[in-house]
Order: sequence, then C-alpha cells, then structure tokens
Amino acid sequence: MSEIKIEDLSKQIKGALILDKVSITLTSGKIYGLRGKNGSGKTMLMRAMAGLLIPDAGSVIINGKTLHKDISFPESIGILIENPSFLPQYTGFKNLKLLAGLTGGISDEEIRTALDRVGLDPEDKRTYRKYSLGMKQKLGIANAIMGEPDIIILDEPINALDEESVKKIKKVLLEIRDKDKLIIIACHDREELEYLSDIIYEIKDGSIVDRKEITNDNA
Amino acid sequence: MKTLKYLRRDMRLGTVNRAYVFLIPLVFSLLMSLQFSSIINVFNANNNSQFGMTIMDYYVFAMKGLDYYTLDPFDLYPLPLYWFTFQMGISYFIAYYPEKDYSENGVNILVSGKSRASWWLSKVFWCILSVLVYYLVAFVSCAVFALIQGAGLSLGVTKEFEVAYFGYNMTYVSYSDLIVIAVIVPVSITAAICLVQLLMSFVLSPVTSFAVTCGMYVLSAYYTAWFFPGSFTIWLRSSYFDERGLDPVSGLVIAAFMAVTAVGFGIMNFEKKDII
Repeated sequence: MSEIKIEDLSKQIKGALILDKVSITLTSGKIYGLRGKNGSGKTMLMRAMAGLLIPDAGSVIINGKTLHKDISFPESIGILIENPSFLPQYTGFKNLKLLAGLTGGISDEEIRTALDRVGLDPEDKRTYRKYSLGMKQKLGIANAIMGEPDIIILDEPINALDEESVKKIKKVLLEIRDKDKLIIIACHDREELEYLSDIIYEIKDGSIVDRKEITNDNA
Repeated sequence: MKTLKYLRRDMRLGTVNRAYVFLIPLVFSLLMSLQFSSIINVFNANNNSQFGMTIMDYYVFAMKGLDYYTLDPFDLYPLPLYWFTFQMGISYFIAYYPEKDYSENGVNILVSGKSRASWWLSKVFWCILSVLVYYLVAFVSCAVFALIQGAGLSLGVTKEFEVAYFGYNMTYVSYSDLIVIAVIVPVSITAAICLVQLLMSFVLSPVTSFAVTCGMYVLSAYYTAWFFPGSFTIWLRSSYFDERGLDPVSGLVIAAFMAVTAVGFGIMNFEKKDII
C-alpha cells in the first residue's frame, strides 16, 4: 500500500510560480490522471513527486517519509518524464540492465519481461541510437515498469506510439494498477486519459483546479 | 554501497569507454623518455661515463616540468607544450563526462540509484581514480621505455647523474624528498585541480571550467605562486630544489583544502539542485 501526500507544495523557477500550494493525496490501486495545458505544471508536479524538484514550500510525503528530509527519492518508483534518455551505444536490454544495477533487486528475467510487455524484443541487438521514436518511448515505459515499483509516474507515455502499441500499454498499466500499485499519468489525449484514469486532476497555472472521479469499465 | 554502484558505472562509461585519452600520457612519456635517452647518451659520451639509470630516473625526468621563470619582457619564454599538454589531457578527460552524464541521464540514474550525495561522491572518486590511472599510465610508459633502453628495474634514482644533470641543488634533494615533490605532490594537486574543475563544470559549464583550468595552467607556467596551483605539478619549482620555489608541504595542504572544499560544495549543491 503506497501513499503520496502532497501538502501546500509551491515552487518557483526563475521567478515564475510553477506550483502554487498544491495539496493532494494519492493512494495505491488507482491510476491518477493529470490534465492541463502546456506549461500548466503537470510535469513539474510529477518531478516534485519523483524527488527531482526541491520544493520552496510545502512537502511531498511518501508512505510517511518526507522527500528531501527523510529520503532523497521515493524508495520504489519508476518514471518516464518527457523524452526518455538512454545510452545510445547500448541495446535496450543493456540500458535497462545498467539502470537495474543501480536500483538493485531487479533480475534479468524481470528486465526481459518489462521489455516484452511494452512490445520490445529483449534479444534485439540494435543499439538505442538505431531505435525509432516509438521504440525509444517504449523503452522509457519499460524502464518505468521494470520490477513493478510501487509508484509509477508517466509523462505523456503514449506519445509517438501506434494504435496497437497504445492498446498494449494501456492493458499493461491496468494490470499493474490491479496489483495495488500507484500510477500517475499526464496525457494530452483526453479520451485515453479518461479511459485509463480512476481520478483526474485538472491543473492550471500550477494549481489543482478540479478533481474528477471517472467511472468506466476498467475497474 | 550506492556510491560503489554509481562508481562502477562511471568507471565503465567515463573511463573504459573513453580510454583513448590515456594515449596522451603514453605519448608524453614516450617523447620525454626518448629525450632523456638521448641526453644520457650525449652525457655519457661527453663525460666518458657509463650511467646505467633506473626507471625512476626516466619518470622523474619526464615529470620535471620547467625551470623557475622570472617575469622578464626581454626573455622569451615559450609555453612548455609537453607539460601543458599532459596537464590538459587529464583536464579534458574530467571536463565533459560528469556533466553530460547528469544532463542526459540524470533523471534515470538518480531515481534508480536514489541518492544525490552518492552520485556526487561517485564522480569525486571517479575523478581521483582517473588522475591516478593517468599518472600510472605515464609511469608505466616511462618504465617500459626505460627497461627497453636497458635501465634498471629500481625505484631509486641515480644520484650522481641527477646532481650532474640537474645541478648542485640536487645534492640536497634526498630520494624520499624526490618521491614527495615529483610523485605525491603533483598527483595530489592535479587531483585537487580536477575536483575543483569537476565542481565548476556543474556550477558554470564544462567549457568554462575547462577554459579556466587551461588559463590557470598557463599562468602557472609563467608565474610560480601558491595561488596558481599548477606550479606544484612542476618539481623543478619546489623549494627543495630551488630556494625561490614552492614548499611542497604547502602544496599538500592546498590540495587537501581544494579537495575538501570541492567535495563539500558539491554535496551541498546537489542536495539542493533541481533536476530538470
């Protein structure tokens, strides 16, 4: 059971207020959608939850532990934020293996499973630099879901993916959610976001302006 | 443990994958050894002597640097290119990888490793290890060349030759002094300069930090002073050898100060840095 509790979180970057007293609580077993225009603060909120952004005020509390006070980063998290970036000279598997080596506790079999689930061939010998945009995106998602961490944050995960791949990713995310994991997604595609999400937060000018519970047949 | 995980990755991506830079100390050592070899031959011929030399003689010669220089507008003093290239080689090696690793892969590797301080400490250890390996390549290259030339496999120096070649002052430099001024101080000060450069590459930019380091080394060649720490990498400018020179102990203190400052500021910087 995971919980992210955000209390009065504010952040300014170069004088611009990008997060303004955000307060939400997210619990496991649900997919949370973040919706808003470009520059509304979705990505920054995700970065703050992932421990990448240091708040000016307020706090992000993960399972009772405050980020940047008790822990530097959430203990079990997978993220894909904006464009995925990997080492161009290595294959997808090798890239994930290097990252898994840092995380610890993720086997080669789990890496292969993650690649397979997003539609990438674990035995593919092509290096990352030869990947198409869609393959790069899939590798980013595979990195976020490998080892099935308790919290998964995905920023525009279906960008550059074809229809079939989108279906596959949606299925995988719903499967993971049903294992009592907490998933946060930002997506411009309203329809896809509503299909995947249990709760959608609308963000405007760095503030949460609306919360909407979605009832669909995914539950 | 986290630092070790990061360090293993850094050694692989930052050192093994960029091992071509170690050609610089290799070529530097071979050129200096060739020069030394011909000096010995001429010296032996002129003095009707038969100095056999050791591998340490070759290394000490390669690392001698350049004589103390007093500013004089009428004295043309060309930039010592071998020494400068050697020092620039390691600065170039340190300059780009850490910042590139951070800006291109920072999100993934920091979230995976889950520690900002460990990531920075890994870069610190990587930097120090790189300097050690760089100097080791120089030493091994000198040693191999020296052995091929028939030098003895000894870490001692041929005192008679050193005094005859480098001059009377060498009489006062003991073997242990030479180890301190020609090996320990240059390696320590180079590592410290690289650590400061490493920090600057994040605070400013890799290009700026590299340019500042280049400038500092150029100034060190022309002006011997503690505040141009590149001077400490030149053992001919040590106070043990030249009374106008720099005290090697102060070099060690400065190296320690620079290293502690760079590591401390680096940790503080990264603990509060937004990863965007």
